[in-house]
Amino acid sequence: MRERWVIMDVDTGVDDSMAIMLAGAQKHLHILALTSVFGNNAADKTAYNTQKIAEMLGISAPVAKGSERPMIDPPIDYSAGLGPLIHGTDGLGNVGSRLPEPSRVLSTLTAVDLMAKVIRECPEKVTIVATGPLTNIAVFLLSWPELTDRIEEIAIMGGAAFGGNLAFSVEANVGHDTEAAAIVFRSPVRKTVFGLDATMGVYMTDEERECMAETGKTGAFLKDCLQPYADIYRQLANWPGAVLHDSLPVAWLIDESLFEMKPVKITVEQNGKYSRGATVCDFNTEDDTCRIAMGADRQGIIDLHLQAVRNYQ
Amino acid sequence: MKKIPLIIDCDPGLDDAMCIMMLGADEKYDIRGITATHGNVPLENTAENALFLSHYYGIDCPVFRGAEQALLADHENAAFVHGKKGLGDYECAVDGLTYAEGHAWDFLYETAVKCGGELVIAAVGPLTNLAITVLKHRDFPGMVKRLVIMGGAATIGNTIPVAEFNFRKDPEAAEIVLQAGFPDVTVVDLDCCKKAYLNREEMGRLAELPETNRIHGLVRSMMEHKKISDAAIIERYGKEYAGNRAEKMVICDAVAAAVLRDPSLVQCRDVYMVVETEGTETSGQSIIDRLGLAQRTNVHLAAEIDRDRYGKLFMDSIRYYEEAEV
Repeated sequence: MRERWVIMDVDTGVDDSMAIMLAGAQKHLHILALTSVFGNNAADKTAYNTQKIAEMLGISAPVAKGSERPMIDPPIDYSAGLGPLIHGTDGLGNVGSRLPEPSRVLSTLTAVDLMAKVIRECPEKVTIVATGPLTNIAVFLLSWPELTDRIEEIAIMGGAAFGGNLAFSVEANVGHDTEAAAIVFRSPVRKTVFGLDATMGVYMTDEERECMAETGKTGAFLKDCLQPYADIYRQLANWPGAVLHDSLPVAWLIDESLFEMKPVKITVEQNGKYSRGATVCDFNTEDDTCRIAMGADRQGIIDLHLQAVRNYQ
Repeated sequence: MKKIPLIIDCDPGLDDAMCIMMLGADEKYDIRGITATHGNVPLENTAENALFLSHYYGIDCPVFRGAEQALLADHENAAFVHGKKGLGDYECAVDGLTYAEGHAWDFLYETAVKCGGELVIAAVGPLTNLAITVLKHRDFPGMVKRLVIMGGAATIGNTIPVAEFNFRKDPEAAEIVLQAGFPDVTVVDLDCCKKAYLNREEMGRLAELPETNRIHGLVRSMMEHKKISDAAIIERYGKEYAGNRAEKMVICDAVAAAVLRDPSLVQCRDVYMVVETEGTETSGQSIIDRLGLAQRTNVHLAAEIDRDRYGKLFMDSIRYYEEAEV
């Protein structure tokens, strides 16, 4: 497995927690920083949750808080909406209080400047895993143009060639900051995109969650953390398990053969009555600077989790 | 047997010509009229082609000139596929033929009233005529028994990457029609049409259609023109979208006709569908509520189609025009 130096930009978040767990267990992935962004919940909560999860997993990388709101759209109201419903009001399936208060403080740098610092200091090119709205990354690209070519790849959970979840054709991470996504997709950086076309097929069944719980304390916590999330997927979409959207870009860094990839040119629709935030996919391209996953090996990716969680016994 | 009253709203167009051909060959339908709209080529050509085709196929019905342009949009037509005048290289003669008096939308409405809830409509062009009918006569949708639309694309379009031509040509009209409350709407979209292709063997038979068939002139000309339009499509959209055109011939509007002739050819999925009208990159996209967020449905989306039975039905329809059988 190829070694990678990784920044995880997250909005923790239940499936973000699973993604961090998966990444933290891989010897070949060196996590340089965790940066948080608003998204599944308010920025304060996602930062706090990221700290807690990192500490639970023994990940020593610094954690920095990022954007509190989209670039142009008004801040999101978290007193209502799907985020708290799916991820729990605390963003961790309503069991976050079971984790101890973080012993380390947040980085004094902003998410964007922490990204810049670790990228500058890293002799190798850095991979960014993005599992929330792309605000931090867009601001990073705008404000640190001289570091753009130090990025190996941005592995993004976001968008969809066909379908949506925030709206009929709009996926939540992209829809929560359309302009940021437009900036990221327009940039020349290599992008690997894991949208709903691939992620919706990667769900963890109740049985598999039980298996995870049996591995120990970390597994047991994550199982409970996923409970409301799994319930909602069953209730709202009649889905057979908890969809691990955010784990896909991490799984990609572990085993590329689990995915069916297609070169694509993605343009983010910034207007539209229904489509603002849609990732418009043009497959008529040979340029593989941007690729999108059109399928993924569910069992393979779930097995990666069940192996990874044993590392935290 | 009592025949089913049918109006064909279309923009001929070579595939419209095949749609009318198939419906004209079905004795269970009584074609009450053809309403032409702008679309593949300008109205002056589509209307003239409709007039010619009704005569050519021996369909005795009035032909109306409908809308000359979309409600608001002004997107490019498809003359690069259908030829400048719409029927490829085929020169149609309309000397002595005349259009019916009046407006397409009033004819649609009045026929619906007369048919007392029995009228079926095949809409295989941009939906401008139907939208105007809806806007002018709000009680129109409730009087239409069944509406079969060729339009939209669940995945990949044929204009911009995400939009199919008929919806793209008049997005507002498509959105108005889909939201108008027609009780029974079947959408035969591009994804479905692509699954219903004619194969190499069937194409070969069409290219060599014997002179004993009354419509051999048009059909052979269409097959000849296919070489030109295939090249134009590949040049414009690249191979990814153009598909394997040597092996497959997709005649979109004919698929809608096939669904009207034999509904058992398709398996439908009930979905809620909207049409984007304001997007920079997406205007004209048919958007489906895949996860059921809206908790309601407005169309039967033709999802799967039996290719072999479609091919047979198409070839049988052609055979209807053999001299001996007419």
